[in-house]
Amino acid sequence: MKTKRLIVVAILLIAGSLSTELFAQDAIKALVQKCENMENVNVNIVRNRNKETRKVERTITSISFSNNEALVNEFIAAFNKDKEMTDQEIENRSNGKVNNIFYRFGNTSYSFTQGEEGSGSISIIERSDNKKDVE
Amino acid sequence: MTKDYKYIEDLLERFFDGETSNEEEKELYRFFSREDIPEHLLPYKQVFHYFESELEEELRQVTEAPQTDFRTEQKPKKHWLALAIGVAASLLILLMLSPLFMKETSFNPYEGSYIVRNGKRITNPEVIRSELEATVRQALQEEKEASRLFTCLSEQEQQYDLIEQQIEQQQEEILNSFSDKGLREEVKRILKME
Repeated sequence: MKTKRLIVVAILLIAGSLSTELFAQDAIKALVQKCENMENVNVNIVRNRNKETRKVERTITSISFSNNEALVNEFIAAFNKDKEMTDQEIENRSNGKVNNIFYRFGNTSYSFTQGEEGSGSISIIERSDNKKDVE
Repeated sequence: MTKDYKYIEDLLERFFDGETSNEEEKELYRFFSREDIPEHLLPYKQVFHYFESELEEELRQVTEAPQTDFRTEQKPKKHWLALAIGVAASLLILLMLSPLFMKETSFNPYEGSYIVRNGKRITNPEVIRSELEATVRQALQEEKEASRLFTCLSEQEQQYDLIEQQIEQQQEEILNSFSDKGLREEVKRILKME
């Protein structure tokens, strides 16, 4: 009986940790999805395929907009929401205003830049493996 | 009569079974070249006559072959043969390379990519290619910049830690220089205040 309970607890703990990881970037991803259907928001989705395997080895999502203070705030809120599970995090503020945010979750990196007058740009790089680009 | 020709009949049977020796075959040819052949064996005369004439013809060709003008007769044959082999080889190489060639030319590194402008999705690779390339360049540049900044901050953090360690060591040395316990506690309090 005791063993059974221990197994159940272990499974719950593993499932919990996995789901946290899966949902770690949910707020940002949901907002990116929303942007695809918005007017006056430019969205570029680039899938880089390997020449030999033909598999997607990198997906880059780029979003840019202007005159949309509300969307800037939504992105800052989404980034804050997903902040907990980051592996690397850089936040650059001046006079309390967010200029840049950079997060890395495993093979995925997110960067947000706030410009003037409600403009903002977001770049997301998702890699299919642990390989980093050497530029 | 049949009895007299029993040997020849046996030879004939063995001849058609392919079991006769050269000598035995010669014997058969000799026999069928004669005029006095019994009636029941007459049909074989024609057969042996045919074989004999064919053999003679073959022998004649073999013996005459070196005397013919080899160059004038063989050269055209060789020429066509070489040409045919060449064409076949070219076709084979083409067939083997064509899937690779097709694969090479049809490869689109941005397959599945798109851009969205005012809610409209554009997928035409010719239209969006330059936009996609610019996106990749910019995103990678931003990531590179962030990584550089992160490395820079990490190094600064390490330097602060090192300076903090050095200060703690120096404070410890100052405190240890006071033998009076009361005085040492007073200095410790002053150092902590600062």
